[in-house]
Amino acid sequence: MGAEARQAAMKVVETRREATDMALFHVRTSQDDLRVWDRRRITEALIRETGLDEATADRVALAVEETILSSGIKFLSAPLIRELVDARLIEMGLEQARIRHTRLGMPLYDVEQLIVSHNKENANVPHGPEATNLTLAEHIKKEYALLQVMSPDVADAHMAGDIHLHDLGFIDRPYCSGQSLEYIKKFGLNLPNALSIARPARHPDVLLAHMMKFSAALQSNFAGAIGWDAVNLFFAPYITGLGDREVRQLAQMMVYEFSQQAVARGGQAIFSDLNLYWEVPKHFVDVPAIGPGGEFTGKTYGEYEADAQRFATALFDIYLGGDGSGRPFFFPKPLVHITEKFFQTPGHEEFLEHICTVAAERGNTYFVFDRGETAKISECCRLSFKLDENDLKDAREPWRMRYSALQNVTVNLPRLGYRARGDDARLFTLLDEMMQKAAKAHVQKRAFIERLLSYGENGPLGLLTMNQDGTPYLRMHRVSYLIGMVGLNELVQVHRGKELHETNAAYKFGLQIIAHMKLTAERLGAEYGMHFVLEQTPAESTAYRFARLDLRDHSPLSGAVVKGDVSSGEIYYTNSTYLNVACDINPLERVEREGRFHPLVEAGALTHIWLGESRPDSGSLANLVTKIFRHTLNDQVAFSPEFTTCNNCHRTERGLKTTCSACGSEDVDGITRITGYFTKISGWNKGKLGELHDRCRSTRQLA
Amino acid sequence: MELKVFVQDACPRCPAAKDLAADIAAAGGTVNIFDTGAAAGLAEASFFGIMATPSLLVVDNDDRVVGAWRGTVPGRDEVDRLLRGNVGVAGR
Ligand SMILES: [Zn+2]
Repeated sequence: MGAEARQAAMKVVETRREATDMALFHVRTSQDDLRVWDRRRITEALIRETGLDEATADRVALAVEETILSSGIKFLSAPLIRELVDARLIEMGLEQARIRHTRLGMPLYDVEQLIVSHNKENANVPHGPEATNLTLAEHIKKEYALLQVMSPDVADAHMAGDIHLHDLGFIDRPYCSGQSLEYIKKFGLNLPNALSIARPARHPDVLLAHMMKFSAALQSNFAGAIGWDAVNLFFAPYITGLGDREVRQLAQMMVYEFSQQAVARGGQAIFSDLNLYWEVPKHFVDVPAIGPGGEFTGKTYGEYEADAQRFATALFDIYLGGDGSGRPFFFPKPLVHITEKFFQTPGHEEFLEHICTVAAERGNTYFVFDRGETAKISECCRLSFKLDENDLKDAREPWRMRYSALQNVTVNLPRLGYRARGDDARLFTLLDEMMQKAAKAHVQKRAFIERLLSYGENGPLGLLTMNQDGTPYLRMHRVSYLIGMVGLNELVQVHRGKELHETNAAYKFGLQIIAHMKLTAERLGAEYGMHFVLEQTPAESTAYRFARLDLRDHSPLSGAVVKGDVSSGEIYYTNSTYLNVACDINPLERVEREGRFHPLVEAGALTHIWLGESRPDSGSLANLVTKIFRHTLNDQVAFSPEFTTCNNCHRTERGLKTTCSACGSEDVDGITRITGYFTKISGWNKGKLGELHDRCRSTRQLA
Repeated sequence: MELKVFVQDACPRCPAAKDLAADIAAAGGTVNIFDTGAAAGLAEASFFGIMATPSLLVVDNDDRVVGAWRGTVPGRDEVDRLLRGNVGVAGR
């Protein structure tokens, strides 16, 4: 449009403006009020938000005003005006300005659906006003992340399902956090912006209260799990001299407090891990113990073995009982570390029997195998870290031991197989490209978190900048960046024609893919100066999402390998490096074969044994656990029974039933492990339901 | 029957393992060397649960381990005996 024509057009609008009197228009603004139409507000917003020059901005505003006038619109809202402006920006070829001017939000229909029906993205989120608040906020933050934090190529790779950026709705928080009680024992509860400051606890129940508050505070600053190291050991100085009844009472309070803390973020329980040891871990034996009032007790932790053991035993007494209606506690998850020293520590036989009884009866126990001399800390959703030299130095002052993974990015492995068309070289090139993209996503997340941290104690991540020991709470120099994988089994199947469990050649090829990923992660880590580690992604919804997208875009290849029932839409990819969940091999062999991947996967490696209805003998489980420690490389094992709980008579029975066998009611809920935690099956997504149907229950072999 | 030798860069005792492997190969034995710093070598090491270098394995045609030296280098005789002993069995 020439300058003259433009002036003429503006004139027309000016004239009409007088004639119709735009001043009669009222606009519903985003600030909850009604304002008289003022074109100037568009111009100002465009200049402020997009950096357009005033003349161009005013030209856009005039054009929008013209549209409104000529359309006869009676009701104007701020979102509508913004959309009209965006449409005009597109017409005028101002694409960059349009992107910067984007409005984030949700359609009315979707909000209605959300408030009224259930979100199945994460089975840990119940349905309720708090939960929908969480989902709505997550939705906008996710859009923000994809537009503003991630570069377009990374965002596109996520949208297309080449990779999955986890917890985008929590873009402004790190992923997970692991710490010890020593921090709050030494410094009390002294959080930035808190209304009051609590001095170090003097009594065990106060320490527990501090632990709960701090867990909740951390949950609102991290997206994922909150893990506590050596909980029974660090509690020990507080329970010296208490009777068994009081210790049991304390254990009960701890389990119930964590399991019922469903009032925090979005009505979610705190995703909490309690790491427990029968022995005093070597790296804590000579460490001075902190006791009541945050004072050193004059003893070392090595001297608290007996009290630590009493507390561990009491915790498992509580797990064994289950909750008020006999259901397993969903949280906190107890992780028992099995080490060489475990087997040298008196009383380990009885304790092993005890935790195996809990595993058989309720399934809670996670067996974490720390072989050789490496010490490990398990912190997030099945995420464990091997302690290096610096960590062991930190162990002298255990309040310094704070670990975090900043983000988790998962690679869709089967898709690489569809694209490689049987060509090995091409497959590895594609894999490198995806790893590179994952690394780029981590670089962008790091930059964003660092920016938020730079605002200090009064900034959005104030809690994580709190500095009581010379280092900010979140130790950025020690964080890890997780690169996960989904569907190794299906990749090998599409590329080599056999699943991992079918032939040695297929299995070895699977190992080669993961070995390649590990070496690539190390190389990228050196290149970027960041700690990239492979993780077995829990992939609660990702295994479903990838399968769905690939079934749509990579048929017929995908149709041949996708697991589950295509006709019902209950489809999934096998998680991470797992063997097909349906394959009927004996549990020890599954543990052994899946375990050979574990040394390559630093974080979150775990084998599930699905028990179904059967209740194996705890002696044979103890036997199996010992064998796993001695004869395999497996990092972590959990046994998952299934339960049916009745909402009518509140009884819980073994197995998945459609009616209660006590009262006949059909109002029942099935309960078992979804990925790394127990939950009601009614909240599961379709992919996980497909997997549940396929799971091979190891009844026969464990009997 | 195959001798598998697992080595990596900057591993002080690996040259000795490679020398032994070269001797046995020169005498006509089936020998494969795996570099655990490369994906294929690391995968093979993972398959056999090798966590240290140098390590040597004698395996039969079904990937069954007949002899293993993890983190050490055996004498040539020990390896030869296993390689030969089983060749004899197979030849009978
Ligand atoms: Zn009932």
